[in-house]
Amino acid sequence: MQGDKRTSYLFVLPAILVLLVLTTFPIVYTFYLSFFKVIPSSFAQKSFPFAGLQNYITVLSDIDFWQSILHTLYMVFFAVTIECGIGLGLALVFTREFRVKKWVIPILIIPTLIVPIAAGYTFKLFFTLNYGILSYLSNVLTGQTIPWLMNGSYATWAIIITDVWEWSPFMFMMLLAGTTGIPNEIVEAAQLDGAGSRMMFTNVILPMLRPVILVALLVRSIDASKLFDIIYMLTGGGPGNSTLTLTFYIFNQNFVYFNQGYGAAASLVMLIVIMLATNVFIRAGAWFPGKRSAR
Amino acid sequence: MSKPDEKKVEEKNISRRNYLKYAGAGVVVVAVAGAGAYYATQPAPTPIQTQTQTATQVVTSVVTASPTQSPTGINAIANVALNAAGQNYSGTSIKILGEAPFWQSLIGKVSPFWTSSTGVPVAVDGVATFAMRDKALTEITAHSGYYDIIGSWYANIYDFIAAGGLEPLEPYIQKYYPNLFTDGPPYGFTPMQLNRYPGVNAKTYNGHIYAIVSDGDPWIMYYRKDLYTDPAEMAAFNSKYGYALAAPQTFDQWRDQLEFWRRKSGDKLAGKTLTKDFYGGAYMEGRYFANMTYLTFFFGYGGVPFDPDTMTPLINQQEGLKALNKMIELNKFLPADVSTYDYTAANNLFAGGQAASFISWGISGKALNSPAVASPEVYGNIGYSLLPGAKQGDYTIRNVQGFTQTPGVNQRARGPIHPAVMTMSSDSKNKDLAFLFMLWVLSPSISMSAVFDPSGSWDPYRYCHFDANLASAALKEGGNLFDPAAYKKYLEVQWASQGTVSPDIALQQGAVYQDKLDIQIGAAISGTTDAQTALNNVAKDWETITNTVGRDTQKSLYQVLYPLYVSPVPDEYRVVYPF
Repeated sequence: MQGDKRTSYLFVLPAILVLLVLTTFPIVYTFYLSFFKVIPSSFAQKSFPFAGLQNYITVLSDIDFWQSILHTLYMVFFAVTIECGIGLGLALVFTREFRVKKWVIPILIIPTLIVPIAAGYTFKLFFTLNYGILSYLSNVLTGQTIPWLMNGSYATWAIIITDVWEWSPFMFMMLLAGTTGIPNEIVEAAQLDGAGSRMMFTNVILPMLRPVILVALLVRSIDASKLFDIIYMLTGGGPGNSTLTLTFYIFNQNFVYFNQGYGAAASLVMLIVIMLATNVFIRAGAWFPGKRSAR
Repeated sequence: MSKPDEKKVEEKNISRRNYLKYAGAGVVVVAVAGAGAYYATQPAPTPIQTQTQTATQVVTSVVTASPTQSPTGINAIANVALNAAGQNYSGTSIKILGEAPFWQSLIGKVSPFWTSSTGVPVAVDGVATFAMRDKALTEITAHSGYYDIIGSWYANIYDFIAAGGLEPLEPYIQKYYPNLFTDGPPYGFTPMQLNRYPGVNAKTYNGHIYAIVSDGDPWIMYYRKDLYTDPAEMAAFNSKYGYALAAPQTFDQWRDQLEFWRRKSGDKLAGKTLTKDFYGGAYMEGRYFANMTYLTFFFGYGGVPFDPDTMTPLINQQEGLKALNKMIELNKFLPADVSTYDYTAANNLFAGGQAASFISWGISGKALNSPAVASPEVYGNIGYSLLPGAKQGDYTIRNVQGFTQTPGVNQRARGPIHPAVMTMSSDSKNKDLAFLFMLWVLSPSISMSAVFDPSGSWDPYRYCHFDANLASAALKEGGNLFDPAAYKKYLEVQWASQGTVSPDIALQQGAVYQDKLDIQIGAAISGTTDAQTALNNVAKDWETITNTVGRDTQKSLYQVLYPLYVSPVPDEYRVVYPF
């Protein structure tokens, strides 16, 4: 028995080592760096000058940092909510069988396969005032010239639209997997009991999809909070700082400004924010109406 | 004898759907294979016959020069470099970090001749313009030693130096070509590039030379000569504004002309009916570019970035506010989306015939004089001018000891200048070889081809680059049909501009100062914030950066640069075009 136990530890040891190297070490090293002043001139010195808590104080007192959090929350909330709505709607449509279903599904997921930076560049052209297709369509629909990339509010929605276009198929795929897993017997039983489509959706399908929806929302929210490529291509965080998200803020600090001690501190604050938000999200998910565990 | 067992062929019915599926797949495979075979068998494009071909034929006649004797002739320095390299480094290679795609184009054009002479291949890693500093710092701080030569805008070298990433060049200059910065005309570096920027060319920084100029890079104004000389347009302008139409000298004239040239589709322009909207100007006000356009106005109004004694930011004082307000005022006459314009968008608007003027780097002059780039109405119709400035009495005069102030002279060409330089990585494993390549590619003969590569980004920086006959011959060999007379005017303006423009904010973290400025200029232009608040935010950010780096550190460098910012331009910088 002892031998078996030792052997099993040996088998998982490589995976643990990889995990330690790839995740734990970077976090620990980032934590270490966050207490030092690390700018280009620091690299010519014997050791990085000690900064104590100064980096954290500067981060927490930087209005751009807090604004970037607000921008991130705003974009994540609207983008993920819309993606979930579109994904769920498509999933419900595609639970039915129809002739060209297996041809349409691959086409629908193409946006997710496109490299985000390419999607960002493409939509930058789409939003161009004079010859962008989305500018043209929005002008036709609203009767006004919408300054998509020239105004902070519109630029935020330009990013959200691009993100929704790219990642709705991901939600669709996850939710489609969930809907196809709902047993037919339950649906038929509900129908026999006289449930209409609305009641079917709210009392049968939605509760049964709850775990899948929660996972999909969580995964997408974490992913969306790291949004970078699309912002880099579309706005560069502008106009001004109006589309500056937390990831972009940290990228600027670390790689553009090369203020890496400060960037490390901001990264750790971001990690704590995401962990707290995830915790809140999971707890809030417990209140999602639906199946509860049997007592 | 029994017959061999005959395999029973099983007849299998194939459905029509499956048949169509397999047939369709087969067609696609054949089409893809055919396309691949076609492109694979296309002959490689014929290399453009360039000035370098001519230079190489001469370069192969080797001239031996001792270090104490200054060789003569356009090929002399290239010969010295090739002699010294010989075949001693065969088997090694040179890796360069440069701006994509320009450095890849121009170095890729000339480096085969280096390789054939020395056996040393040259590879250029191209990085987006505004990512060059980040990439270089990443390599420097990691001490990767991957790059031998690091290309950069000169303002960034102080970060590289501070990180210990650049090798001092003076020992190599002394060893291989001591007269590098003492050669005068006709082949030496121009006075504007020789002794202005600390650590670059002949001007030392902390006792060392770290960089050699590879690109003059001033901003000038391009305008539609045909429109500006159209009699009807000239008469209409004079009638409305009360003075003759000509390339603007002041910001107020610039404003008048932008308003005058603003036409809608269907309006008349020089007697022709417009099919698209037309604008007075095409300017770069998008992210990463807005700060440069702003600095044109800021320096023009006599603004200086900091107080030289205290390093207090002065960006939010009256000159800064005037500059930003003027920039916002002019935007009324520009395309509605000008706040998103990068270099390509602004260049395309002008090249496409939709703008009467355009301010940009000198490389636009090469590109716009190619029929492949400029539309028919623009090609051959480009005029060149210094940037406008502030009118008399409207700019701040700062007295600097040792300079003769000439108040009342209009401020001209106070835009930004960003000379690109070549530096050597202190982690390079082939330092002598790297220097010899720098010496070779920046030599008069080879640099003629590099500077006049139509796809390259390098602007003139040696006397010979400003010789219109040599220059247009070099361009013509590159396939660019630049009229020598027009090119002479272009070179005159480049010469004058290089002497009078102000450099980027060239301090440690200079790029960060400018990025913070860029963000707030973008906020003001988009209306997110008002001009004064935006500039106050810039000042606050700049204070933070200065405190992070060290006030005394920044002050010592800034005080050396300060004369380059003051207005009017000191006399020593107004060197007359010599050709």
